[in-house]
Amino acid sequence: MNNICHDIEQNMNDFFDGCLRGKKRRQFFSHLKRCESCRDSFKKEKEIVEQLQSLPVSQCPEFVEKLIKASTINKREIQKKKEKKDLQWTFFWKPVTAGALAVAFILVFVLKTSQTNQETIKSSYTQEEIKRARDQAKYSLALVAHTLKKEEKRVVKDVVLNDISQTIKKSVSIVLPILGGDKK
Amino acid sequence: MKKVLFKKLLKEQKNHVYSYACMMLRNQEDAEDVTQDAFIRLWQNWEAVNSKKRKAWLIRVTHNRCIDLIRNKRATIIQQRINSDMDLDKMTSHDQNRPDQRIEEKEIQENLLKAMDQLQETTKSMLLLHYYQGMTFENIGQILEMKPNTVKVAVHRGRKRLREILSNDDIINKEVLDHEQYLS
Repeated sequence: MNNICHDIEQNMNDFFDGCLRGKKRRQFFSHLKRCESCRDSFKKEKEIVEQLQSLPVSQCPEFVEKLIKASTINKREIQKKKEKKDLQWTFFWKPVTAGALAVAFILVFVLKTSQTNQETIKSSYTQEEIKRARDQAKYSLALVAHTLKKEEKRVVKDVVLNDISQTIKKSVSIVLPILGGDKK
Repeated sequence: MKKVLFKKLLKEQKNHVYSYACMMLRNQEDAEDVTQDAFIRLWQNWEAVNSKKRKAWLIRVTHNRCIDLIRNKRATIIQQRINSDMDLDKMTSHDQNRPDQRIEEKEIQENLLKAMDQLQETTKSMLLLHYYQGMTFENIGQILEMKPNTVKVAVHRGRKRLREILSNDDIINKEVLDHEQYLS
């Protein structure tokens, strides 16, 4: 470690602070010429100061600058752009979503109702009941046909033998109850 | 107006802030985070900060964040110091045309930075701000909330301490070299 003369230390500080002038400066340098220890210390400190002053300036990466701008001066613009984009998507997706929802709703409704109908048929009539109803219908139709045939023959006979108005009146009174669902 | 001024300040100060953070932290990723944070905070407090003291404010925020990070990640930083991961080649060289001189310069700078790591954080930051960033004692006093004279004395002591550390290193290196020569 280099030892430095006590009186010269303050002058050295002043020199590095840039405020050693005139007579003091001359005295300082004349001392350095004579004293090897102080000269070495001065040289070393001068080197340190020069090295500190010549340390390289790091270049701030571009992405850091972009990130800073994105969080500060461009924040509103970015937000606006995002909002605009979101709005565009909303406008695009709104009708599509609505349409899809409507279609889905209709499908669900149709499926549901068809299922309900099937269920009611199944729950209301058994196969046996259907068969019985069909037989009943056949029997009713046959009865109607038979009655009409019989009535037709009678009408022809009556028209030939009796008055037409009376014949029609009688026919109607016989046929109407049958057409109205009466067993007769 | 705010945008224009901020943009100008960002352009002027980004490298200074980033370099200072790099030198303090010796870690580029942390320096990037600190730079971002400092500028974003300035944007958020733009109106509250005196227009003439914005640069000083920026450096103060950077300094405080660096100190916080160093204290929080002391163990990591020590490891990084051992590894010395800060690649000086990534920084701008003052003289890129002379590679041999550049290598020697890089070695000297690395030695200096290692020696600076042995100083207290505040002393290190004062030396960096005064010699590397070219700030006056008054400005540093404003940034670190200290009296200019206190800063001045601390800088003198720091420089002296740095000289002692580097002189010791030189003596050790010389002894090692002599020992190697003796063995051979």
